[in-house]
Amino acid sequence: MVPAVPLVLNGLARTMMMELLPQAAHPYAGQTLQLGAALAMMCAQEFDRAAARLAEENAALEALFAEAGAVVTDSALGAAMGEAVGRPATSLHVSALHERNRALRAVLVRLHAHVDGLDSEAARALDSRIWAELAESTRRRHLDLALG
Amino acid sequence: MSFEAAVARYFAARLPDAHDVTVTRLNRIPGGASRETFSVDLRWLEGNGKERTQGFIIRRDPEASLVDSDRRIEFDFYRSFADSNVPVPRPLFLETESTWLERPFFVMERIDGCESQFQALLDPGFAPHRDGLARRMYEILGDIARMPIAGLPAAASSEVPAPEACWRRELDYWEGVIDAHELEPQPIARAGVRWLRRHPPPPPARVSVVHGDYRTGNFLYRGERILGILDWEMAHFGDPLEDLAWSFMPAWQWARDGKAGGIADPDDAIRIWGQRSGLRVDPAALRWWQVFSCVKAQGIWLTGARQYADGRAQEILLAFTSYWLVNAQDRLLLQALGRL
Repeated sequence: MVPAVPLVLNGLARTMMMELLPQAAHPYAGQTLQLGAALAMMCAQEFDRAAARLAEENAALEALFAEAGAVVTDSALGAAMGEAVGRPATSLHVSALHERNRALRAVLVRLHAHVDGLDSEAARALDSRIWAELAESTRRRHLDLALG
Repeated sequence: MSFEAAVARYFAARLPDAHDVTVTRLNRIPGGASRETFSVDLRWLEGNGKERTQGFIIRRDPEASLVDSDRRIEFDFYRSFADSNVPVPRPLFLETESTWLERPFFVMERIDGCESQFQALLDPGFAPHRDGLARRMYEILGDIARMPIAGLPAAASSEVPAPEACWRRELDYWEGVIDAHELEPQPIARAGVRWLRRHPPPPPARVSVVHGDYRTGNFLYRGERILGILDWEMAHFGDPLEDLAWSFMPAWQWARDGKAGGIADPDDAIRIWGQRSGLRVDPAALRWWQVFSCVKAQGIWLTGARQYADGRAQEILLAFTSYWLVNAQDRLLLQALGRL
């Protein structure tokens, strides 16, 4: 058993802030240490939750596309949504989950632009659903030390 | 040759009638995300044997940065306001070759005895100065908007758009930045761009100088006095409301109390700016530029993330801003659109 990555990164941040920063002779060195420490702490949080948030978001987007099928009038977009949903992740590596997330969000951009141009009750409901998912996506990505 | 020796060699060649040039202090200034900024103390002898000392600022092109900008344009905007009622450090030399300090750079006089960090504004001890500083901040922004364009050095190096083209030119540019630099799809920024194209603002009453990054943190101050407006790397000609909206962005509301830049009540700022510039603020147009500011800022953060990810720069600041700000900026854009 080795120390967990978040523990190591947070320890690194503590060393930078408590031991190295007081010895920094120049403002540039001090600022770099402060930024580095904060960055290490944000990376620690992201490391721990990345797979969970990506898997959650990928599933949410797949569900959204499944609902959107009845509203979409662009056959190429419909096919892209079908293809995106039909290719489940084959790995739990964060890089693989990221890759799938990128593919799904690319389709989401197209879907939102398409829905923007539709005028129906179902389209408006889907538009609201997309905005809600976008808001939720920022909640998933929020880091405790980040702005806002 | 060390950087310090290269700096001494450069000034020995550049300063008229100077010899025995010595760099007595050389520090990199933290914070600059578009140029590497160095503070230099020099001592030299003039031809008559008289000793001179002076402080200078060197702004050198970085290997990569948050903003792709042209140093000549930045230099020309500094020149445009030298000797005006908009205080700026005096620009001295522009060097477009890489022979002296490995990369192009320009030199300005240093303004001493002042503060630039926004954190100091939030210190309780600074509270008595906040209102006065806020007033001065928006008086100067009004003066920038009022400055006649004709004859400015910047008008020779930057295009002056027609009033009706201002919004589209900026939006096209920053959408292009997002196209070029996004590491992954940006559904919120893209929705913002579509909203902006569907709701264009009216043309400005006057095409003006736009600083492009006007906010606390980008000027030198002492108490209520502002001694130098800095960081003109995104300056251009356009709709003066762009600067006003940018200064109001919640990302710069450092105290999280709704005050622009941590010091200014937005209604007061609009009133002061309007009196000084002679321009009226259309609330719908201001809102357009506030939404635009979120898209532009995201373009900046994404540029830094791309530069770091591609290995073109190892500046920790670039990685830090992407973790600290990209998602936060998405949230600010959702708020600006009334979706959060």
